[in-house]
Amino acid sequence: MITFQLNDAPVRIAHGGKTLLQVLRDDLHLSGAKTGCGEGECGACTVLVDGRPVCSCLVVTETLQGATVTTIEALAWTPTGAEICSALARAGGVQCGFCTPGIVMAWAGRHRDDTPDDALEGNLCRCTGYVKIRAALEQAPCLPQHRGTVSGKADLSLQDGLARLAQNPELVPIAGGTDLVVRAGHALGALRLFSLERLDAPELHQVFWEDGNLVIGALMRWQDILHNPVIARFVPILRDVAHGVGSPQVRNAATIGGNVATASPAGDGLPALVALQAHVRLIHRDGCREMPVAAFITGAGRTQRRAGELIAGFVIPAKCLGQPQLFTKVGPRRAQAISKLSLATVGVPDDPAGISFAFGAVGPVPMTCPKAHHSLASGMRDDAHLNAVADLAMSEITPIDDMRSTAAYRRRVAGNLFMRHCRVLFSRTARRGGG
Amino acid sequence: MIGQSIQKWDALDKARGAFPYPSDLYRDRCVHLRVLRAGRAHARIVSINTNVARQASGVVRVLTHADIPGLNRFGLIAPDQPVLCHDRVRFCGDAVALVVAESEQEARHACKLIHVEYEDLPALLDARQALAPDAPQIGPDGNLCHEVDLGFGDVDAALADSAHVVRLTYSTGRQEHAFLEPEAGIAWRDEKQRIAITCGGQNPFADQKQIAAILGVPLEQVHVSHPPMGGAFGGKEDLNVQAHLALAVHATGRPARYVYEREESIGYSVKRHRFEVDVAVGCDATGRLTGFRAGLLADTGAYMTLGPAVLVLAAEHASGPYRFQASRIQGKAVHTNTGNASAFRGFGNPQVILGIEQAMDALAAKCGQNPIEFRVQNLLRGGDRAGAGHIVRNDVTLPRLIAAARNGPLLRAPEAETLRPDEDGRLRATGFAFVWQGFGLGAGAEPGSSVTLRRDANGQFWLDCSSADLGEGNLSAFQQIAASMLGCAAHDIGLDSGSTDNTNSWSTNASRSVVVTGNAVAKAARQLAVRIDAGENGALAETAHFAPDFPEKLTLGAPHVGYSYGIQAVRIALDTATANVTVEEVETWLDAGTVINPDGVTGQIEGGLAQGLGFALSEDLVQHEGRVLNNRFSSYILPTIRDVPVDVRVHLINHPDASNPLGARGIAEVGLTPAAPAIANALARCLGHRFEQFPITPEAILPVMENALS
Ligand SMILES: Cc1cc2nc3c(=O)[nH]c(=O)nc-3n(C[C@H](O)[C@H](O)[C@H](O)COP(=O)(O)OP(=O)(O)OC[C@H]3O[C@@H](n4cnc5c(N)ncnc54)[C@H](O)[C@@H]3O)c2cc1C
Ligand code: FES
Ligand code: FES
Repeated sequence: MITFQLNDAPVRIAHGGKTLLQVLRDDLHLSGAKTGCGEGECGACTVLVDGRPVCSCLVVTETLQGATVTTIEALAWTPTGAEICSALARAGGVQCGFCTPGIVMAWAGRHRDDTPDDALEGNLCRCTGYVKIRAALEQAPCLPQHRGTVSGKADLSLQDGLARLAQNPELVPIAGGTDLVVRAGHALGALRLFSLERLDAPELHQVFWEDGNLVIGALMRWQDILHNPVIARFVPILRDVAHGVGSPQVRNAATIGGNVATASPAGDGLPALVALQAHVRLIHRDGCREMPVAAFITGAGRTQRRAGELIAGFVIPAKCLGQPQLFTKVGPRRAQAISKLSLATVGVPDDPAGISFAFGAVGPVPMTCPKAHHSLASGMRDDAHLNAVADLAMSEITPIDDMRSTAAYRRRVAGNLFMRHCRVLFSRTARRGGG
Repeated sequence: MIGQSIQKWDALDKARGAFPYPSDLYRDRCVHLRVLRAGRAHARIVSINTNVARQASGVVRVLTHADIPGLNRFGLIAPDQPVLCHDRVRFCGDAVALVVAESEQEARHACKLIHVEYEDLPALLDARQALAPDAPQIGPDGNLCHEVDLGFGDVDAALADSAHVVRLTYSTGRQEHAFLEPEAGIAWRDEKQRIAITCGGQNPFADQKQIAAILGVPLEQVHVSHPPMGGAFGGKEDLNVQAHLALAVHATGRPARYVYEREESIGYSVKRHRFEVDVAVGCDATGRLTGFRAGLLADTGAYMTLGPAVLVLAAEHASGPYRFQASRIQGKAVHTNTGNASAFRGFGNPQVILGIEQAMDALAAKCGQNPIEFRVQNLLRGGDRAGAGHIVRNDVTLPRLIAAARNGPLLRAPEAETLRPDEDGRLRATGFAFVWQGFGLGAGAEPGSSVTLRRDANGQFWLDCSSADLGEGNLSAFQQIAASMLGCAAHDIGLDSGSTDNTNSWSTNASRSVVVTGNAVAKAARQLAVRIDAGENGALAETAHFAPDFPEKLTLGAPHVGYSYGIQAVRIALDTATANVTVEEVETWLDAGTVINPDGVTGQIEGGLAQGLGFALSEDLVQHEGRVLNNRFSSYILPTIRDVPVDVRVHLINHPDASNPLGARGIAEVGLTPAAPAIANALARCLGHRFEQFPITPEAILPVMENALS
């Protein structure tokens, strides 16, 4: 049995590998959350879980134990919800209206600083062109923020959890579920899921210092990374990565650990962690080990993670902290985009080239282009030399043609981004050196 | 009242999640459906074996062509599409078998247990090959689905005598409607023993006729209802879930529910026609237009759907609102195995406007003239002959719009072409297009609308019409029209609408609701008001019909009775590292005729604009051997809120249209059409290049840009 609060009343459901959206619509006959895509892209199914907007089509029941869920049916009758609904209706922000309940939820649960463009990245509307929605929401309120990172869902010590995973190799760990649920599709019910929310291990949810290095807990969600002041100050590249991950709904669920464990070539966290020369910390009932993220990822969708092992966090070396950092993601649109390619570049004072970089989505793993890197170490920084280095990098990456883009485009733009990053970073480091 | 923005009757319930959409409907003891699709472009069916599937858990019935009691074909113009294929499949989405089960999961599982043996046939995947002598034959009468040849005068001579001629060749994308609510509905046997279907659709009477034929029953035994739904944009005119629902109820006697998954909706539903277009446009040394020639090739896919009508509208509009000395517009719609194309907002005009509006900019440049001036001197005036050969009866009101547009920041002073990126590494440029878009169904195709207005015994008013509200708010506009004639508030008009039990107001499409049905509402309301003023007591009802008057007919579906006119200007930024285009600002000037609900009008323009941006820059199917690869929202790229500029302004400069008593113009499509040529013109300004494929992707721009910058 899974028990959670739904619209202020307790609900108990049998296990069953279902999504929250299926439970709401099929079992509880709450049809305010709509099915538009079933894969986290449209936001029509948005509900609040523990106060944050998420796509209910990506939330698996197993992760709901102890959670608080609010749907449009309840929110619409709160003063905040009523005001948002009425603002949208009055201003012509509702055409077919199929997207509207999701938009109300996303706006009500937004981060307090979010503009409509920030808050609604994950809500597709095919009718309005968003113009009247923006205008309506600019004046509309949001709910008071409650942004605790550790919820009251933990019922297992870390040791007990790891023991269970070690004993039951068929158990699949699930964090935010945003990769796993999409990949499982209709086969979701066949998986035996183990929710990592059950672990009583606050360090997995936090950023903390350790011997001058910074450790980022694997269960930190991208939305927390986006708004974390320590990250903004010392590893701003991860904030910039977070900014481009999916939408608020996705970021409110998706974790950095899940991003790396999935090891998708298009995963945006990967090149940044590789450029940061981060190490992944793996924990198992029988012990703990660390290795460079670059070594951990062995291929598209493949890592060195062993059965029963969890990613606990990422150790960012002191030398990269607070250094100039840049991340550029090139996608097919300006939000909610799967990368065609990306480039992460980090200033590293003790590196012979002065920087460390990795491309994403132009090879099976983040591409560090050793020849190009080596050639940079010569110290020459003029455009002609940088051009030659960019050419080398373009020859080292292995982009492909697929339905999203072409190898030729990816290769060429990789070179352009490389030039752009070098110009910016070298002028910044030069300024620092000079100052 | 007319002319005021009102809150639509259903807006608040929709926002609160309390409004039941077709996909929200259930009935007790519902069975669930899944359709087995061909998954191959062209093949002969050797055998269909459903034995294993029939035994699978939860399966109630597995239906094939053999279980269809009536006609195993449907189609809005001609019935040529099988409900369940018998001996041949002609596109990947062709339905082969229908599983009826206790749950969706079980139905899905059983689909995989159906064994179909196919013999693959050579597939025709390129419309340009369709009429080759050795091409595989797809349609019952070959691959030529429809042909038009319009125009007047000696175009060869006119072009030969021209000082300047611009020739453009391009193709357009197979745009997906991507309504947020996929195709969905339920059906059951109602208390009158009819098969009752409630689903998303655009014309209950057209559905009823097709379903009755499929079931082999009289019309009266089929009831169809279209409640307000989550969008349609033309994509719900053809049957989608209806026939399969009806068959399931017929076969099992139980209520049935069927909702497309998104993959099914993108992968197998109808699309905007891909066009291959060639145009040649000439002018003399003073900039006066001479000849216009267009060759249009529309890929209508496996079945006819509305292909002929789309082609005709495209031909009628291809030469734009301009005056030529001679013109010839030849078009063909052909069958292929690439899918199934039909109606989509704009209905052929977005495909052809790219020719004329790009050519106008290019010719202006050749003449050294300002592109606005160049267009102005060539505009049609009332009474002139348009390129397709018909007389445009009423004023072409673009001059009023031009005067306003010239005061806007984007068109005030067209800047010189520049190849210097701004500080942020982006090239910026503005571009614009003029647009005309006919409204109502064209000559010979427009049956007009009937509506009934009632006052019941309690004094409550009711509007009775069959129109479906797709989200654009036509029912709210009707309430406003009726209320203003009856002297009450819009929300005092109750709605009894959207079904075959209502008075027949025909389809919701072709920007016809307010112009055609709206005038019928006004007429009925006036009749009712007269009786009320005369002091009649008790229940009253007035039915009225309105159909526009067509002074001439070029061919079935053309010309239109009137046009709405607009100008759209964009400012774009082109990133010199990625070749990504960002649209930063859009301004539209529109003549919407008599406006009923201003927010409703601007909402249509803004929504159309967003779809136009998609058509211009990102939306197209990616296919492999006829299979759609990007059949999800993660790979079919719709504009998000960040892709539509914050700076979108719409100006209504209205001039009542003389074609109808209300003076209204249909405006539901005109916002989409001009976006792509405006963007193409802006890109030509910064790159000096005209692209041959739409959408214009960064992959196509990059080499051109690098060439231009080097
Ligand atoms: C709409 C949408 C948009 C997206 N946009 C982006 C984007 O822009 N950029 C991007 O990079 N990604 C994107 N993603 C992918 C996904 O959101 C991210 O990869 C996310 O970080 C995954 O985290 P999660 O917690 O949801 O992982 P889950 O789905 O919970 O898990 C993914 C995999 O990792 C394993 N796993 C999870 N946590 C651990 C752990 N601590 N130890 C060991 N194994 C673990 C799971 O078993 C599973 O196999 C998007 C996804 C969706 C649905
Ligand atoms: S249904 Fe589209 S995001 Fe959940
Ligand atoms: S109003 Fe129709 S999708 Fe937003």
